Amino acid sequence: MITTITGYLTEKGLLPDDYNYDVNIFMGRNNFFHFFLPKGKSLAVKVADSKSDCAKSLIKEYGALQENHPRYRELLPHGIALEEGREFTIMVTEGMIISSITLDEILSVSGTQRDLMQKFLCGEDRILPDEGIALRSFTEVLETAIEMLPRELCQKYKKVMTDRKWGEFLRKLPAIPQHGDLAINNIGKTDNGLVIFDWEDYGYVTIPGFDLCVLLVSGCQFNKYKLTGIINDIYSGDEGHCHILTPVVNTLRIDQQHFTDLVSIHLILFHKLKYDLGYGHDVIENCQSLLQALHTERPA
Amino acid sequence: MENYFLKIIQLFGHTASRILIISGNDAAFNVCLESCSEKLISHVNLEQTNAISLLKGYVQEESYDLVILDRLRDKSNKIPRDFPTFLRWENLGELIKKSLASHGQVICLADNKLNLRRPITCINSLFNALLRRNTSPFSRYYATQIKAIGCSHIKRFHLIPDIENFNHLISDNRRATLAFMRKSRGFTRAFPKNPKEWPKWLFVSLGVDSWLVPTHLFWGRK
Repeated sequence: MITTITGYLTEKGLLPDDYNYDVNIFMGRNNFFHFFLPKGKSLAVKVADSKSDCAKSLIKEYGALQENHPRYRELLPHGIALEEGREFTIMVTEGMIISSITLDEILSVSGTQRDLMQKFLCGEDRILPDEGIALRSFTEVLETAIEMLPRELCQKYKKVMTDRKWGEFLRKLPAIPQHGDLAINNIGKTDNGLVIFDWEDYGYVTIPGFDLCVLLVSGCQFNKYKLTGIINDIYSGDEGHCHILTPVVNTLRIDQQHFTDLVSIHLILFHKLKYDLGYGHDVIENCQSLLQALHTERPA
Repeated sequence: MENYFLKIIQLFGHTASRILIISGNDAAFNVCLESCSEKLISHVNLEQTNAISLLKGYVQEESYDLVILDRLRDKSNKIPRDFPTFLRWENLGELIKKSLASHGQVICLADNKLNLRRPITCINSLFNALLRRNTSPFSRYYATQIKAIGCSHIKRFHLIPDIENFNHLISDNRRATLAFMRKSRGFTRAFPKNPKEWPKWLFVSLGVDSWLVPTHLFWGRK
């Protein structure tokens, strides 16, 4: 594999042909190669077996990077090349040295990074034109997702959906393609600021606020009290200090109660997504526990 | 079932059709043989008494695209326990040189097997690593030996976490190694209740296990 990749990159002129580079290899679902070139440059290369599901994800991810890089330039890596070869699909992007970040650090970014993060989470520049089709499907998608919950939770949330008129609430929202997996571990910190990676699920969900809710829920480690604390901060309306997420929720034009509803809705969708993609039990159980906890305080 | 031979073949020998594995055990090789039925894989177990004559036979019959030299453990009864691993390698160099095809690759695994549960073995391993494994004479020795086989391109990788279930290879890039350590190391790791786990926790938290007690993979290509 490494000879195929280095051969391809050398042929493209992306790697020096004198082997004057270092490489850092992660063996996972996709194989990930980080090439360190002279003069501090680096390349990130993801590789999957052609015609596999991972290869399709790579193609999708590259498309998402190409589409969104002009909008949020500093927030995501620049896509350099995509090769759909006979054996491997290879995606090359600009390389970055990334370290992990906490939710508090994200919520306290300032300057251009703050503006970009708000712009990305609002997503008003990504609103899909054909609202009719998307809006009808919101309710159907949610109904299917509720069916995938354990029986007890499923019955409760079917009732909540009717009582709180979620169908009607969702019809008012525009369709905006979401990153799809904006969990805290998919955001990193570089020398230049924040960076969002792993775009393979982009567009899978188009209900606005999904990324915001997943970020909050994962950043709070699925803890109800931390989550409600942040939601209170967002809506507290403290003059003189505007919470980074206040302008984001303002674009949704919903009150605090509806925003809490929206978190539950997105948590149900996130649960379905993780279930469909075969993720570990931990994340699925965390979703179910938080849904159970959020639901206990709901009015009948 | 996945093992480290399979991972190495997947990474470095995907296009190789003829592979020679020289190792000290049969178990990992047998798994590999089942999973790579389309490739010609020859195996020599150096623990066997007829190993060298078997190897000579393989070398005369075929040339190989990929030669994997598995860790040759110090505990082998064919060599005094206190002899450095690489000394045994010298005896094999000429044979490997004969068997390596043009554009062939050599993978050499140099393992410093650890038992991090016992403080005394931690100290021994650390001492061992400082003296032999992680020192530049050790790297230079391997580089010289791989060059002598006819390889012009050589790289050294650190395998993390260890040779059996490695999922991460870091080549000699100080910045990348530091970035990896920043991301996955540190005292934030949960402190173990079992005192037997304390030395390991300390070593891993300090990053000593990856810095000073490494498993190396040397890669060479003609």
